[in-house]
Amino acid sequence: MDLGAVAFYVVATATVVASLGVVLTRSAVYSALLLIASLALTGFVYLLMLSDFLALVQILVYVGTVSILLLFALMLTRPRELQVMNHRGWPLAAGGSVVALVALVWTTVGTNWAALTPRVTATGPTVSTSSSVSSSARFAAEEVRRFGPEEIGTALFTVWAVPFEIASVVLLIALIGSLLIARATDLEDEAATGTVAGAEGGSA
Amino acid sequence: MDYAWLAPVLCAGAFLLNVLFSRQRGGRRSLFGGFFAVGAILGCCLVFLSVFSDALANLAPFGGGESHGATTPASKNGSAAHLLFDKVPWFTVGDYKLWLTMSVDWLSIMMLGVVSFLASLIQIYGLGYMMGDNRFWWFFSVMSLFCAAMFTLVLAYDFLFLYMAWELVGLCSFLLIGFWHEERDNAEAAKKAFITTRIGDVGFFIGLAVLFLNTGTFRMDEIFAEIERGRVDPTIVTVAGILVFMGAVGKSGQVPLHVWLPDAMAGPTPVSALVHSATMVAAGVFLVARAYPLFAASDVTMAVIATVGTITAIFAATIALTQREIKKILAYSTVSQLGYMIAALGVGAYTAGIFHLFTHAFFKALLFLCAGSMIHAMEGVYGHHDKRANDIFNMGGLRKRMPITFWTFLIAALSLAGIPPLAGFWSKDEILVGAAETGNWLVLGVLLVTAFLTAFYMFRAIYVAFFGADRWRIVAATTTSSHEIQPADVHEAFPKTGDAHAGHGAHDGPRESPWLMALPLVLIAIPAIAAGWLNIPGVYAPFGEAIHFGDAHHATGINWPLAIAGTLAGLLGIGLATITYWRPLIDPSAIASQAPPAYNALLNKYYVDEAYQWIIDRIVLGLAGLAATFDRKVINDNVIDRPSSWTVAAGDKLRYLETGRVYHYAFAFIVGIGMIGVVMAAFPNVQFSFW
Amino acid sequence: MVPTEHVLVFSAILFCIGMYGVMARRNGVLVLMAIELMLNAVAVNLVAFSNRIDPQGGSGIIFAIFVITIAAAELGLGLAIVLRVYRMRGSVNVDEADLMRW
Repeated sequence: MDLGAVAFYVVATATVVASLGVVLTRSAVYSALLLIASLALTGFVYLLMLSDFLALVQILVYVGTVSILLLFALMLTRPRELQVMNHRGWPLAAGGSVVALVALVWTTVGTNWAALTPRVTATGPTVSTSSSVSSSARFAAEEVRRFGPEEIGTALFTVWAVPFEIASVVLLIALIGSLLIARATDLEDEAATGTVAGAEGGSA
Repeated sequence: MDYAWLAPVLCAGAFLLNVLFSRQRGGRRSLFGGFFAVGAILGCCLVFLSVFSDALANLAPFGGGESHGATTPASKNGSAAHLLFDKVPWFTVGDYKLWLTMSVDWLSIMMLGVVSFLASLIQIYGLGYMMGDNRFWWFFSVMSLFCAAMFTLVLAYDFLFLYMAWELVGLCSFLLIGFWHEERDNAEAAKKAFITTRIGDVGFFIGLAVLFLNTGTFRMDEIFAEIERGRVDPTIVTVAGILVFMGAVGKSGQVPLHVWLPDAMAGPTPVSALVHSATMVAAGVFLVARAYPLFAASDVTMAVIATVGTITAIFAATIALTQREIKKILAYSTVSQLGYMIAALGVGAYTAGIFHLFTHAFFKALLFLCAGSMIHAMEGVYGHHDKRANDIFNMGGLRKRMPITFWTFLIAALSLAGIPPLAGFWSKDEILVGAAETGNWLVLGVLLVTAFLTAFYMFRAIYVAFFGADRWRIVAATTTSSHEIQPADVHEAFPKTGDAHAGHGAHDGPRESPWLMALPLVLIAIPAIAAGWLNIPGVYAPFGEAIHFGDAHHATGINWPLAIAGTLAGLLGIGLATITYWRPLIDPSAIASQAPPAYNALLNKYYVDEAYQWIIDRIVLGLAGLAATFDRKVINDNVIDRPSSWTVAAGDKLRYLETGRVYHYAFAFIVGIGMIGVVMAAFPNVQFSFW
Repeated sequence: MVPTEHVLVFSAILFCIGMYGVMARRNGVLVLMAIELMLNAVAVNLVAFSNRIDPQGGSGIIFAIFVITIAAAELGLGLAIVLRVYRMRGSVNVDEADLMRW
C-alpha cells in the first residue's frame, strides 16, 4: 500500500463527505461552501491521477469561477423567509439514488477488468502491457504518461482541434445567451421583489 | 385530305379568341362577338371543299389508289379510309398506351360537309337572331366550341377520341340549352339534357371498357378486325354492342332516353336548329354507323337497335299530333326521324339510314330556322321571350305576311313528308326498301304509319300557323303576357334592343325577318330540295357508292310499289290535315273529346316524364337517404367518432403526467436511463447501436 | 496504485449524490449545484478510464477538460435563467414554476 493509494482513499472519502453535505445541509450558503470543498478535493484527486493540468483547470474554473458565480446567484435570490430545502418526496429520490448506486457499483465490480487492454490512440502508440498486467490492473507511474500543459496543449491543437473550436463557439453562445436572458427589462422591474435591476435600464 | 384536322382546330381557335377578346363590345347592335366564330366556320367550309375535292380524286371508290404514301387501312365499313395521323401517343398507364387517331373517309367527309355548311348558315342566322343579347359573344364562343367538338367526333378513328369529343359535344349542348339560364326552366332543361345523355354515355363507356378489355385497343379498325376474326366471345360482342348503342340512345333521343330533346327547345332557336336537329343528335346515328361492324356481328344487337328505332319513330310521331308549341312539334318530329334512321341501321339498310341523316339535317334545320323566324316575328306582337309566341294556335295568317318563311317551311315540310321529288322522299324510300328487303314487315308497316302521321302533324302546323284568320290579334288583345317568372329583373336579364315593352307591333302584326335571317332560309332550302338526288337508285347514286357497308349495294332501279306506298302515306296525311284544319270538315276537338284518356296520354307525352320523376323521387332519393343515414349513424358514429373519443379520453388521463415540476421530469429522465442500462445489462451480447 | 474499479465506484457515489440533489432540492440554485456535482463525477470517471485504456494518449483527460468547459457554460446559462425567473416570480422555488401543469 503506497502513499499514493492511501492519499487517494483519504481524499476520496473527504470528497464524498463534502458532497453529501452539499445535498443534505439546510443552509444554502453551507451548500455552496461545501461544494467548493468538494470540487477542490476532486482537483486533488486529479493530481493523484497524474494529470496536473487538469487539476489546475479544475481549481481555476470550478473553484475560481463557478463557485463564485453560485454564491452570487445565491445572494441575488435571497428568500424572504426561511425556506425548506427539500421536497416532500425526498425519500423517493433517496431510494432511487441508492438503487442507481447499487446498480452502478454492481456493474463495475462485475466487470472483467483483466481483459481490458490499453489501445493505440492518435497521439502515439502505447506500451502494450496486456500480458504483464496482473489480475486487477494497476496503473503505475511509469505506465501512465504525465499530462502537463505541453502534452495537453499539443493534443488540443492537433488531434482535438475541432472540438476545441466548437467548445469556444459554445462558450461564446453561452455568454451571449446568458447576457440576453439575464438582462433587465422594464416589466421585470415591477415584478422584482426588492431587487434593484441593473443600471442598464429598459430594453434597447 | 391531310388537312382535315384544320376544321376542329380552326373552330377551337375561334372559341379561344372569342373568349379572350370578344366580350360584348360596341353598342347593342354590334355584331363584334360573332366575327371569329363565323370566320372560323366559313374557313371550315373551305377546308371541307378542299378535303372533298381531294377525296374525289384520291379516295376510293372515286379516286385512284393512294398516292400519298399514307396507308389505306382495311376500312371498317368497306369504304376506304385515309389516316390523318396515326397513333398520336397520349399517355401511358402501366402497360397500356393510349393513342389518338384521326381518319377521313366518306362518312366523315359527308358529316364534315353537313356540319360546316349548316353551321355557317345557322351562325349567320344567329347573328341576326341573337342581336342585342347580353351574352352575344358567349353564344358564338360555345357554338365554335361545339363545331370543333363535332368535327373531332366525325374525324376520330379510335373510340376514346370519339368519346372525348362526344362528351364535349354534350357539354356544349348543355351550355347552349341553358343559355338564358336566368330563367329556371331553361337551367332545368339543360340539366335534364345533360343528365339524360349522361345515362347513355355511361353505357357507352362501359361498352368501350368491355371492348378494351377484350381486344386491348381502342382503335376502331383493330377492334373490328378482332371481332371479324372471331377472337371475341359472341356474348361479349352482343353486350358491348348494346352498351355502346346506349350512348346513341341517349344522344339521339331514342326511347326511353328521349325526354330531354323536347325540353331542349328552351335554348335559342339557332341552337335547336344546329345542335338538336341536324348535328349533335345525329351523332348517335353516326356512332351506330361508325361502329357498325360491332353491331352487325350480333343479330341480337341489330334486333335491339331496330326495335328501339321503330318504337321511337311511332312513339314520338303520336305525341307530336297534340303539341301546340311549334318547336315542340319539330322536336318530336326530330325524335321520330332519328328513330327512322336508327331503325334503318338496325335492319341493315346502312346506306339508307345515313342518307336519311344527310337529308334530314337539311330540312330539319330549315324547319327550325323557319320556326325561329316565326317566333321572332310573333315576339314582335307578344313581347320578347313571351311564351305565347311559341304556340301555333296563337299565330295565323302568316302566309301573306312572311312569304319567305312560308315557302321555305312548306318546302321543308313536303320534304319531311316524303313527297317526290324532294329530298326526303328519296331517303325515306330507301329506308322502306331496306326494311322490305330484309323481310322486316312489321318495321315496314310501322314506318309507313309513321310517315302518314308525320305528314299529318306537319301540315297541321302549317295550316294552323300560316293559314286562316289573324288569330294573333284576338289573342294579343285578350290574354296577358305569360312569362312564367314574374320578377322584374328577368326583363333586365334579356335586355334586347331597347324595347322592353310588350306587343308594340300588335297593330302592324308580324313581319318578315331581316335578311340576315331570311337568307340562310333560302340557302338551306336548296339542299332540302336537291340533296336527295345524290342517291337515286339505279340512276345516279354516288352517295351509295361512297357510303356503304360490306359490298356496295347497287340497286337496279326504283322499287315502284314501295315508292308509291310511301308517297301515298304522305299524301294521305296531308289530305287529312287539310280537311281537319283548313277546311274544317272534321273537328279535331270532337275526336279528342271522344277518347279523353288517349288524348291526354298523348298530350302529356305518355307521362314518361312523370314516371321518371317518380323513380327519382322514390327510388333514387330513397336509396340516397338510406346511404346517407348509414353513413352518418353507422360509419361516422362508430368508426370515426368512437376512436376519436378514445383518443380524447386517453389524453385526458395522460395529462396528469405533465406536473409542471422539473424534478419530476428529472426523475423520469433518470428512470428512463436506468431502464436503458438494465436492458443493456440484460442482453450482454447484443450490439446496441445508437445511430 | 489504485485499481480502476475503485475510482469508478468513487465517481459513481459522487454521481448518485448529485442525482439525489437534483431530485430532492427545492431551490433552483441548489439544483444547479447538484448538477455540477454530477458533471464533476463524470469527469473523474473519464480520467480513470483514460488512465486505464489510453495511458499514453490522454484522450479522456482532454474529454474531461471539455466537460468542465461545457459545465461552466451551462451553469452560466442556467443561473441566468434562474435569475430571470426569480425576477419575474419573486422566488426560485422549483415547485412554484409549474405553469405547464395540467
